Formats: sequence, C-alpha cells, structure tokens
Amino acid sequence: MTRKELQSIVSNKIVILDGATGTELAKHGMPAGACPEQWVLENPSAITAVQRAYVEAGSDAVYTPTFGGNRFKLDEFGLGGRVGEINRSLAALSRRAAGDSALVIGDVAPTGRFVEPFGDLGFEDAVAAFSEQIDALARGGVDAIVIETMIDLQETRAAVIAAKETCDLPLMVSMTFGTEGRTLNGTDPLSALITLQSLGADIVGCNCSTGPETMAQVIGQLKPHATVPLLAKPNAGMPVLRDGVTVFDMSADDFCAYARLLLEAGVNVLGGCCGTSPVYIAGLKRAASQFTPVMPPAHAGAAVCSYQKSVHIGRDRPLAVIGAEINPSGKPALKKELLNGSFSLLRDAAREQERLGADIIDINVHVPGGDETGSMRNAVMVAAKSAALPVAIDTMDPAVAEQALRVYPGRALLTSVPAKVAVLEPMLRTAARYGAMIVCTPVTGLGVPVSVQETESTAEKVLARAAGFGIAEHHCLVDCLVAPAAEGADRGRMSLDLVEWCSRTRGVHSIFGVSNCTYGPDERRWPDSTFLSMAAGKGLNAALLDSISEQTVNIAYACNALLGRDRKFSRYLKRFVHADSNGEKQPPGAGRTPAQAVFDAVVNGDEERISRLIDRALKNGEQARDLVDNQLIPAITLVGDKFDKKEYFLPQLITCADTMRAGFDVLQPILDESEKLSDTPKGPRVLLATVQGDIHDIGKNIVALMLKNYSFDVVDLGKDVSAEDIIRAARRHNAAIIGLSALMTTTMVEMKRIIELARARGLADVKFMIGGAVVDQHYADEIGAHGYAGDAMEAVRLAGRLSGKKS
Amino acid sequence: MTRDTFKNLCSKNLLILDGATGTEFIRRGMPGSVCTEQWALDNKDTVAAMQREYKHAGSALVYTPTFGGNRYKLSEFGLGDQTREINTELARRSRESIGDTLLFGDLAPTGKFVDPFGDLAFEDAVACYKEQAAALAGGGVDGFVIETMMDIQEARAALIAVRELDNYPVMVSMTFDNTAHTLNGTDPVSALITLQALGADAVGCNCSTGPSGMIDIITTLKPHARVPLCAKPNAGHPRLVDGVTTFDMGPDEFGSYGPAFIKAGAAIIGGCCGTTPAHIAAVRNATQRHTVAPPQVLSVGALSSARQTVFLGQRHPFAVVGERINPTGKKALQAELRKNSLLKVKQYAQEQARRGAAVLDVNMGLSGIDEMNMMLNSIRLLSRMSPLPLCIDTSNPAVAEAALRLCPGRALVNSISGERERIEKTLPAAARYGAMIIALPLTDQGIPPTAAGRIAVVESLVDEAALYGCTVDDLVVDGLVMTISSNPEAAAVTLDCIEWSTNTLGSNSIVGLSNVSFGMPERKWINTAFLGMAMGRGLSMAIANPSSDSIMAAVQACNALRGKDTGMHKRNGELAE
Repeated sequence: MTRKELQSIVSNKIVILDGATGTELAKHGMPAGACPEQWVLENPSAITAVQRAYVEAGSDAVYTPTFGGNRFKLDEFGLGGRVGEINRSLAALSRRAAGDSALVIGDVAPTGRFVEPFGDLGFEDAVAAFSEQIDALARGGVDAIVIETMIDLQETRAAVIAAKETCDLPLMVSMTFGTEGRTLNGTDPLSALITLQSLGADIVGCNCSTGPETMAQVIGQLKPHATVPLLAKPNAGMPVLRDGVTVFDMSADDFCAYARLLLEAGVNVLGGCCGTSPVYIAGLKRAASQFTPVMPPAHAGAAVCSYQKSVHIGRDRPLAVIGAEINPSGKPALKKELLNGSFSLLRDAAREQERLGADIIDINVHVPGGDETGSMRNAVMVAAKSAALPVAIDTMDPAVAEQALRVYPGRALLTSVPAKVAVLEPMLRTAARYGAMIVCTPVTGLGVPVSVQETESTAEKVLARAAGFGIAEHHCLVDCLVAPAAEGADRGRMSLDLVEWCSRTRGVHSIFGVSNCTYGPDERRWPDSTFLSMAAGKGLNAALLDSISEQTVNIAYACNALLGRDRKFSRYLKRFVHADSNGEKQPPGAGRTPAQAVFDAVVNGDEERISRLIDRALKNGEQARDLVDNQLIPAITLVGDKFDKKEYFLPQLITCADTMRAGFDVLQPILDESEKLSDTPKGPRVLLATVQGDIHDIGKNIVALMLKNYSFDVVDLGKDVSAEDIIRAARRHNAAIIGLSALMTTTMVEMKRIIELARARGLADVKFMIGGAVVDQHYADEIGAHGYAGDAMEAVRLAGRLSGKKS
Repeated sequence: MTRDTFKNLCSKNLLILDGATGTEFIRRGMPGSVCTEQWALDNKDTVAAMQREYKHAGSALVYTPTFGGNRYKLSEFGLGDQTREINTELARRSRESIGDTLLFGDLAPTGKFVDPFGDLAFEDAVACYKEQAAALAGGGVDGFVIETMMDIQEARAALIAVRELDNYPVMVSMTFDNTAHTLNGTDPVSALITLQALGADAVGCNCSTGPSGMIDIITTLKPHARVPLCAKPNAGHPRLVDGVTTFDMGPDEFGSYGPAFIKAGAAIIGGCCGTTPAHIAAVRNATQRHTVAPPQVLSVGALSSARQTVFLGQRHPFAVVGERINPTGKKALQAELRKNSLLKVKQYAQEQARRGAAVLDVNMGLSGIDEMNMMLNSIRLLSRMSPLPLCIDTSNPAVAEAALRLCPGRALVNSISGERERIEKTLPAAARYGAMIIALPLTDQGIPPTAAGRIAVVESLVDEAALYGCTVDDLVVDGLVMTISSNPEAAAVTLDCIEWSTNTLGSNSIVGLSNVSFGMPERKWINTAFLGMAMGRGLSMAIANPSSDSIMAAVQACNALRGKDTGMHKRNGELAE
C-alpha cells in the first residue's frame, strides 16, 4: 500500500484497528512466559482465529503478532538469529488470515534497550535492528508498518528512520504515555508528535498505559498541532485482579462510551490495547460510524523540540531566544575541549543558557582542524541530556548537518542554509530528510547582501528552493541579515526594515543575530535588549544572542507579555513571581566551596567531572564520610525531589544517579580504609526480581540503581524468576524486603503467588513491595504486598519506610 | 503695515536696513554722556539728514532713534515721565524725514534683568515696552524692532508687549558675543526657537561682532528658521584711536560680506556700530543681483529654555521628559510643597538632568497648595538653575497660561485633549505663547479603546489646533498607554497610534511609560521593553524616570541606532546595571 492509499482510506472514514493480541492468544492457550512470536508460529490457528475475530468485529486493519519480533527481544529466547524468518512468516500468516477484508500492519515495538544518548545501544545499531525486522515484515506482505508502545523517543526515531530507509510502506507511530502525560522516558505527546510527523511518520498517536478517557485528552491536545492523522489504541481502563486473574476494569460498553471522547477529540485511527477483545472492537466500529474523520491541515504551527519540550515559532508565539554561547570562535577553552573530544564546557554552557531563560540552544562546534562531524554528533546528544531545550544546529557543512540531524532526539533548527550554490541543495536535502526547520541565510557566493532589497530577493530564492524540497515556507525563518560593511547603526535599521518586511509584507518567520546588529563590545547588553524589543515590536520571531544575559531574556519575556504573545502572561509570571525564592538562580560555581561543587555535580549530572571535584574536595581537607553524608546523599535526594516535581525526568535521574555512583566509587576505598574498625553495617538488604513469565526489566533495573545509590544492599535476581527461586534467595540472603516487578497483566498475578508462597514457607518478616506499569496501590493491597511504588524515587522512599531506614 | 505684507517684503528681495545711529550721532557732534533721545529731539535736522542719507544709500527700512527710549532708560536722565512724548515725537519726525520708507520703532534693553533672571517683574517689563511701543505707534511707525537684546526674557516681554498692542510686524534681534552666546547665556538657536514661536516676524542679531562672526550665526539659524533672518553687524572691531572709539572696517569691505550673508540665509541686512550711509550703499551695491532664500521650514518641533534647545523627532536624539517633579504619590515632595519649599523640586531637577533627562515635567497639582503660585515659582527656580526646557503639566488652563507667559523658552504643554475645556482654554493659551502641545486622544466621553478611535480624536485635535495656527510639528501625540494587565491589547493599540503619528501624521509622539506595567511583577522589564518597541515604531519622547538605568540605557541604544549617539558609555559610570 502506498502512503497516498492509506491517506485516502483515513480521509474517508475512522479506521478501526484491532484490539489486544496477547490476552486473546492467552485465551487460546498461550502459556505465560512463552515467546509469543514462537508460540504463534507453532500455533498458527490461534492467531488466525484472533485476527479473523477482529476482522469480523469490524477491524479495518490487524497488527502482525510481532511485538517482540526484533533481534534484541528474540535473543532473550535464543531466537535472535531468526528475525527475518519469524517476521516474514508471521506477516504472511496475518496476511492469509486477513485476506482482502483487512489491512495487515507490521508491528514493531521496543527493543527493551535505551538508545544513545539515553542508553548504551548505539543509534545505528538500533536502526539496523529495526531495519532487519521491518524488511522481513515488508517481505511478508504487510500493508503498512506500526511502531508502537514506544517510551523512548530516540528509539522511536531509530525505528522511523529504519522504516524510511528500508521500505516505502506507510508508517504509523504510537507512543505510550502514562497518566501524567509523559512517556516513562519523559517525552510529552506534543514533542513526540512534532518530532515524528516532521521525520515522516504518516500517522502518529498513542497506545497502552491508559484508558480512553485519559487518551482523549492527549489526542485533544495534539489535534491542533498535527499535520498527520492521529491514532489511539487505549487499554480497557485500568488493571485489577479478579479471582486471581488480571482484568481491566472497563466493560466494552463503557469503553465505547469513552471512545466517543476520542472521536470528538479528532482521532482518525482507533483500536484497543490491553484488555480489549473483539466485542470492544465491534463497539468501537459502531461508535465510529457516527463520526466523519477530521483531517489535519497541511500546515499546523511551526515548532522545534527536544525529547521533552517544544518551542513554537509564530506570530502569536513568544519570541524564541536562541542562546549561541556554544561556539568555539574566540573561546580557546571550548576549542581545546572540542579538539580533545570533551564536552564539559559545552554541557555547562547549555545548562547556563537554560538557566538564564533561553528557549533554544545553538550549537556550533567548528574548529579548524577538528572533526566537526564527530563533535557535532556528540554535542547535540550531550545537549539533549544536559538541558531540556531544543537545539539549533549551526554549521556550514551539509555532512555535519546530516549526522547531527540524524541522531538528535527531537526536531532541530538548522541555522544556516545559505544561498550558496554548492551548499544550498545538500543542506535542503538533509533538512527535508530529517524534518528540520531551517534558517534561510541570504548569503550568496558573492557574500552578504548590502541592501534590504538584495536580502529580500536572496531570501526569496532560498524559500523557493526549499519549497522544491518539500520544506514549506512555514518551516523556514528568514535571517534578516545585512552586510557587515555597513555601519552598526545602519545595519540595525536595515535589519529592522527586513523584520518588518518579513512580518508585514511577506508573511514569513524572521530571525536575526542581535549581536550582528548592535555594536560596542563593553556596554552591549542594554543595546541588545533595546534592539531586541524594537525588533519584537516589528514582529521578529526568533533572536540569536551570542552573549545571552538575564536582562536580555527578561526583555524578551516582557516583549511577549506586551505583544499578546504570552497568553495570560503565564510565562512572564512564571519567570518573575518566583524569581527570588528559587535558590537555583545563583549562577553555578559562584561562591561554591569544593565540597558544594561535589553537590552541584551530582545535581547537574556532571559525570565527567565528579571524580576530579571529589579529589579537589579531599585535598581541601574534606572527610570522605562528610562528602557522602553532606553532599552526595543530600544531592541525590534533591534530584529525587526534582524528579517528583517533574523538574527532572528519567534521563536526568539516571545521569545524576550515575554521577553519584561514580563519586561514591571514588570515596568507597577511602571509607573502607578509615572505617575498617567501625564496621559500618550496610543498609537494609533488598531483593529485586521481575516475576516469572515477564522479561520487562527496565523499570526494575532503574529501581535497583536508585536503591544502590541510596545505600541499600541490593540483590538483583534479574527477570523471569520463578517464585521458588525468589523465596530461596530471600532465605539465603536474609532479605528485609522483596521487590517484585511485572509489566504485563498476564504476569502480575505471579506476584500474588509469590507472596502466598512466602507466607506458606514461614517468611513472615520479609516485606514485599511491588511495581510495574500495570499494578497500583490498590493491587498491592489486594494481594497483601506492603507497598506499591510508581517510580524509582517512590521505591527508594518506600524501601526506606519498610525497613525503618532513615534516608 | 500688516505682518503678511512684511513677510512678503522679505521673501524675495533683500531688505536693507539702516546703519548705525549712535556712532553716527557722535560722528555728527553728539557729546558723550548725554541722553541720546533728548539730543535727537534737540538736533532735529542732523537726525533728519542722517535718516535721509540712509534712505538714499539704499535703506528700505529705517529705525526710530529711540534705542534708549524706554521709561527705565529715560529715567536715568530724569525723563521717565516724558517717555510717551519723546517716543511719539521722534517717530513722527522720522516719518517726516523719510517719507514713505518703512519706519520701525526701535525698542532696546531697559538695562535691568527681568524675572526670573533679575528683579524686574515680568509684567513691569511688559508694561514698560507697551508704553514705549504705544507711543511709537502714535508717531506713525510701520512696525517694531526689538534689538540688541541679551536677556531672552526681556526680549520676550517686549515681544509680548508689541503683540498685545496690535498686529504690527516685529523683528527681534539679539546680540551675541564671539562665543555665540548673549551675555546672559542664550545661544542663537534657542533664541530663534523661543522668539519665532512667540510670534516674531523676523529674528536675527545685531551689534557685538563684525560681519564674519555673524555669518556663522545666520548659517546656524537658517535650517531652523521659519521666519526671515536679519543681521546688523558692526563695522568690524572697535578700536580706540586718539581717545575716540572707531571701527576698523571700511564700506567696501563691509559691503563685500553682503552676498555671503544672503548665501548664509539672511533676508534682512543693515549695519550697527561704526557703519555709515556709505557702508549701507556698499551693501546695496554688492547685493543688487541677489535674491534671498525663503525660510526652509514651515514649522519646527523643538523646545527651548533660555540656554538650550531640544529638537524632537526621528532625526534627533530621543528625549526623556523627567517625570519626577510631580507630587502625585510622592510624600516627601508633597510635604515640601506644603511648606512652600522647592528644595525637592531643585533636587529632582538636578538629579534628572544628571541622569540625562532632556526636558523637565513640572506638575504642582496638589490639594492644599496654591498651584498657580507654586507653578510660577517652580518655573522661576528651574529656569535659573537648569538648562532643560520645561513641560508645563497642569489640568488648570489658567495655570497653564500664566506658566507659559512666564517661562523663558518654548515650553511643552501637558496637555490638551478632546475635552471641551482643554480645547477652548488650554489650546488658545498654548498657541498664543507658541508652546508645543501634547495631544491626548481622549474626549469628554473617555478613551477610545481602538487605535482607529484614537486616531480620529487626534485628527480632530489637529484640525482644532490649526484654527489657532498650530501645525502638526507643534503637536506631540500621546500614545496614552493603558495597563496590559487589565487589557492585553493595550500595548498594541498604543504602538499602532505611535506608528500612525510618526508615519502618517508626521508628528512627534510621547508616552508616559509606567502605566503599561501596572499590576505586573518586575515592572521595569515591561517598561523598558515597551519603550524599545515604541522607539522602533517611531516614538520620539517619553515621560519617564531617568533614574532608571534600564530606561536610560534603552534611550542611549535607541540614539545609537538612530546614529545620534555613538557613546554607548555609561554616563559618569551611572548606567551600571
């Protein structure tokens, strides 16, 4: 099927997908803990029956049973070498089951690994694994590809890129957002949408994790920003345990009643996830028949985003302040670092600019004689981990732009697309391929234009060529640049005229480097801000500040408030009302002792520097024990608080915990030495396991890491651990707490069995804590567990409470 | 003769005046230390002969020999009581001797300094000149010349006196030394701005210097003059030869400057000390084939004090009107004013000047004080101590009128609006004294919410003002900014009005800054950003507190962008952030 064909189907009706596969297969006898892909191949009639039932219930499309069909997942069952064969066969099987009555969509889902920069799986390795699976699905005859239940935007991007580079099939992408509206990894729906639709997904949406009511809010939030149809595949409410079996609490009738909310919110493609069955799908079909599809406009608002934050560009949107401190020109220390392949200063600069209030971080790593491609690739990933802000990729070299855009986990701005013959086309091609927004730089081979008219006509040329590559004007910003030959004041005036031309005459977004237009090195900040406000008043959309100051940013915020570009003044109030109460307003490093610098390093996740800072603190006479008690532990506690308050997200939590760990590793030998006689008892012993039949252990691993960092004595039994093994280990290790994890509704019942077994075997004192996407406090109470933790920080606190340990 | 006739007379051909009277009288036998006017009365034929010689040499306009003919001067010779008779008789005889050649009554200094620069009450000065002018009018003069003035306030008093007498043409001529200031510190441009606004039909200079220095002054004045410029230089430099003061420039050399004067922009030329009928003839001969340049501007957006002019508009530095001399909300200032003390006024004036204010707003609206008296006293104090022009800020038309009458410069009136009382009382008073006027786009019905509504009010105000002879250059449109916290559109409406005033109407514009941020936290960012935006849309002035670093820095930046002030430096290190 071509994209156009899918588009035409979606534009004609609400497309109904299938419901749950796993639970339906279990009804047909698939045992817990089996490799579903393998089981289905061995029991083809089961999947055929499930898929036919869905088609009969009204599904316009069914997914292939290949959720765990990538190399990494199949490897867990020793089947990694059979990716091609398994996927091809399952696709063909589905094709036969669906016949001509329904589309077959090749299902691609997480590898279970975090992809760089958030994890250790190399980006190209992820792309290769997805390519392998998608290629097999395509050969098996699927009509389209769906990438679903994704929590890591970077892994999702790898899959999208793989799909684009492997086949021409239409592509649906669906991420899974928790009840708080973000993926486990911290990505919000809007950033996901902006990234994925610009990268070329044909349909974007969400599945699993929540029921239709919550999901309707997500769809409603996305609809105004979507240029692609939206998809929703909610669970049948929330999981509960009934008679020892996990069920979802929403009946088919309720589910379909709530599905109306999704339809009203503008969903185009609708199905069911965990807990749904053909009867749910039949209900959806009936509900959907009363709705006509709301198709997206060709252009929605322009925006760039990181994996966790989007920045919109437009007339009614706040002026985007782009911090351009990250530029080695004239900065010898940064230059040296980049040549050494180190990124500490870059990370600091990203953080500092975020602290000062920038909206976007410009990255230029061009050093003569340096490896700009490698530096830029690393730099955008470091920036993504260091600051929540989207980046602008600032390079003159199309090859550098290509590499950076490929690995940047979000939608970037490409800040220099000049009208130079040799560069224009490759830059535009790259920008189009990865969906970047671009800055049309009116510089030709002859240099910078010397008049307003010349800039205008050059900008027109770049815009026209961009359109030729499918980059709509809407995604372009015109750089209001004039020749450096003109005197400062003239350049300023001409730039202002150009801004006016962009906003009033031409109707395109405008940007300029404020510092290009003002002059006088010493007292420049005030003129910068005055010039900025003049330009904002004429409609400027984005400003590049190579020396960002709090004042200039304050002025930008004030301009937005004055121009109706800050609805209800929410940004202005947020910036200023709490300005004084927030201790973080101190610039980093200022007035900090060596010991406090250790604290800061943990809070900022500065892995590279923590050892050095600890050495310095020790040389300064600090005691190792004091550094642990007064710096490392309070720092990681603060990190936990930030995580709770949604100031930090999981990637930051992990980075900070790693930093803490690295610091602790330096101090450990000294502590052991000095405390040999005192024989400090270790913290309470916690046994962790993912229950039998369940191989989802990302969450459990994070909990293990955090507990260790909070000096619990952690014994990690791994995943798919039998009840017997857990009880035996608890006895052997004399565990105070057993932490159990399960991700699937089919495996969560195992928790109850383990607790009952422990009671039966006389492990009366041991406390149980449980966690996992499908369980909750209610379930914990029901099965007699002592507590439930929703995330790693909660787990730390819970373990503390259960063990009586002070943290 | 009417003012229009005079204007036409000077618009194409050079108007040649007479030469020296005093030095000629001495040359023709007048002893030192006598009363010149008395001597002239006693030597009727000599005077008549001299006047006729001038006429024949080419003078198209002759002055009456009444330089010292005011009551104060004549009193020095015990002749104060004969002021009327002496002036009328000298005018009558002059008329007889020159026939239908133009005759202007000569008014000159009283020898006293006028309030606020001296102890002669302003109204006494006006009365003195009115007495002399009325007497000269009775003798048949065609117009008046107020000459050799060094106190701008005395010149204003004389001009107001003549204006209040009848619709005579009047030339005002100040005397500038070789530093191009009057003895009292007034520069030529400030004198021009003040006097042409107040209704002088020609402005210029006489005495003190020879032709070459005076050409420079005329050159400086020409771009800002909407009236003909006159020059009456001495015959070079005075020199004592054998105990007698003589001037070193002969007629030919003197005459040779004629074309240069015309080129510099003078339309009226004569001679002062040391010149003779021969000098005038030489001027005539040298300028016979020359036509004069008419005024290059019809109106000027500028304010002046006795010592300084502030030009307004896109081509000039942005002007901050210091807002602090206003008791509203200022407890300390209120307390001082209630004690009749202007200590705080003085302090605020100094501080604001030091911080870079270009104009000082003066508001004495406070319950329980005599606004009229305090306003006049403030103007006296500020005119003496500060070179900054003033902005008269009052809602009382009578106070506005009295203040404008006293203020020794071209002031800004804050303000008129579409409210009837302002149009019927404040506007005519402002027009009478040539003030610039802040025009508020509001009416008795209130403030129009849209830019279009406000523009309509301003357009009606422009029409009303035109009835009193005010041009668009005399108006400063107030952007009338409302607070964004209650109306998010408020800033946009004001910005649109400012842009319209600048680009479409072509007037200057002003805003009071602090309203915009009312109710918001960290107001200075809103104020500063708004100022920047408004500057970008063409704003030329703001009523603001110049002690705000952010605002003054924005002003400096704006000026730099307008190419007016490349000094991005901190002013005395005080623009620290």
